Amino acid sequence: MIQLERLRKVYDSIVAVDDVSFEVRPGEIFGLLGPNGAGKTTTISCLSGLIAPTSGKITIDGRDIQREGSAARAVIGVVPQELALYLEISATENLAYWGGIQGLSGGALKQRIPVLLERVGLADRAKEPVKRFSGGMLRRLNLACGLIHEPKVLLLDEPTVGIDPQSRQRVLDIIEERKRQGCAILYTTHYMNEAETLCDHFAIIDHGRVLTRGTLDSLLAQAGEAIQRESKPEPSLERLFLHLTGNELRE
Amino acid sequence: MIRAFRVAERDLRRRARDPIGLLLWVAIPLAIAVLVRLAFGGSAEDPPRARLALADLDQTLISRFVDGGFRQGPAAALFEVQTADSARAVELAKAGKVSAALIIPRGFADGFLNHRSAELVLYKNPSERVLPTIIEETVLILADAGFYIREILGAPIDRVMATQRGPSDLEVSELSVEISQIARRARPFLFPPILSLQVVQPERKGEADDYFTLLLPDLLVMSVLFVSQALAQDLWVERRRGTFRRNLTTGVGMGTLVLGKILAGITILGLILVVVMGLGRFAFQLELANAPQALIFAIAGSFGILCGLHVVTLLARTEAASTVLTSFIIMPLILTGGSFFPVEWQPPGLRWIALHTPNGWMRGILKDLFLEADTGAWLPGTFICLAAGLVLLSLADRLARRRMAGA
Repeated sequence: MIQLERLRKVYDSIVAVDDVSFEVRPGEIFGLLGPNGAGKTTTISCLSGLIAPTSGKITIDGRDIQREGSAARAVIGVVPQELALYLEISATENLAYWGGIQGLSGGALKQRIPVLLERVGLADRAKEPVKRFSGGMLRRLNLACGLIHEPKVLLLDEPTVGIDPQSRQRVLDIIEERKRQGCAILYTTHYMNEAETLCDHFAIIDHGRVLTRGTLDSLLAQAGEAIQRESKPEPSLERLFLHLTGNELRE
Repeated sequence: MIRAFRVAERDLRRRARDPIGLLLWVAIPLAIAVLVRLAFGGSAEDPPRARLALADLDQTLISRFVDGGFRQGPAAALFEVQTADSARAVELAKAGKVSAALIIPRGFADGFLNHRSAELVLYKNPSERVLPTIIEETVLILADAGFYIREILGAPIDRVMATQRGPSDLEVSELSVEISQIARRARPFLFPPILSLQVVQPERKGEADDYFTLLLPDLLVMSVLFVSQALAQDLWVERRRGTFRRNLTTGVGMGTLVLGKILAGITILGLILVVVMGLGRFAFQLELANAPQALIFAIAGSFGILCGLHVVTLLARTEAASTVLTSFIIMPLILTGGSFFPVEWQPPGLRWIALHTPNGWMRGILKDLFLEADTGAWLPGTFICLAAGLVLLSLADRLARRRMAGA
């Protein structure tokens, strides 16, 4: 469903993404992990057609994002890291707008909005201006806006950052639900335990390059004795992540 | 195009939820326009009066003629005379409380009657230019009139002044006859019926107050400029919030997004124009001629201004810089374009600039339409505004691709 082949993006002289390749199949959650500035957001921007790659090929649902941008983007749902919502209008109006701009209209849109609001726990606040919402409510609505057109591909950029455990759990439940429905999901997060429980495959990226890629078990096995020695009480994705990307602080 | 309408609908909903912000942008120019016009005058029915402090140290019949020259007839409407002693009169002029102080020194009448130098002393308020000059010119006219009266009616005046206890009834009748004969002889020279001045007042249109009719175009243009600035700034608000970027991931083109925002903006500006003109017509009883044409032209002009300010906004590299840049463009335009200082009051050089600013040009056409002075310019003007707007819209689209796409 999502295919990246040797993706490279260069800004002036800075290489943001270098030779990144991976594939996400339907019904799979792919965790793209990396410290700040590793190249995750640039990769998502290329995937969503926001920026053109310097080289490489991106295919979404069999369509080249560069050549068939509109058709490819029609099946993508993007949930950005920032709360990209219209704060002055209500949750219903936000969903109506994002659905409408994705080509939904009439009965289909009207039917889907209350269902989705119910699912993200905002049905009772549907008519309220979004600016009155708490952080958790905004995150849930942010996710709902990416799901309104029932995309086949979901690009989730840290969708649970800075929210309460209840909201996080609801967001994770919805993502699992979408996975079961056959959606191909690319997921970035800094919460390693969250990634461990949610993702089927991982790629750890730093300085624009993929350091390692595979399932959790295969990654831990690849890391071998080094990670076994460092990990207390037991090897984990977080230990592996730190082992690969180092302990230096990133901005 | 459907997507552009969806973007426009969304922006209109957003604005509808925050009408106070837009009302403020309309209220600011309204307050400025009214205050500026009140500060500088403007009603033809209430011309400014020159305040004159007059110190008559001579206290004679002749000196009272000078005093009366400022208090009687048409001069009474122009001058507000305050009697004071000489020190107080000068003090008032220096303190800026009167436009000038006129001192009639002792011996003034004596000098006048005996063909000697008769001086009048005038102190002008240094902080005023026009009104003290009017007083000075009036004093010079009075001096000239005094000279000619002395020359023509010298003999009867001398006889009146020579009487110790005032002229008798017989002397008064003789003097009257003599003065009448002199006047009759001098009539061909003094009152030649060659030139005549006919003062024509412009016809008033119903109950309208011309002052507010003249104010309305300023108000409309200023509102369009201020509101357009706020609307154009919304590009950067969307960039900051990440909604612009999110929109682009949905496959909506940059051109569609910019067009949608312009459509919403022009709807808002159109509503504001209708409301302000409606208020002028129905709440303030202004007789606005050619209102439909004025509205069409104003909407086309607003389209041009809105697109232009979108371009200016996108020339900046940051949100803060865009605020500074648009203010840097708008404030001089308002100052020079006739909204603060009416074009009619500006010196020729500035007037030329004012008439060639977009807002000054727009204001002029609206004023001409409202007052029915010239109704030929609005249609070509409408097409010019639409054409300029389309060019600027295309430029805004290109700039937005550069500034907003990778945001």
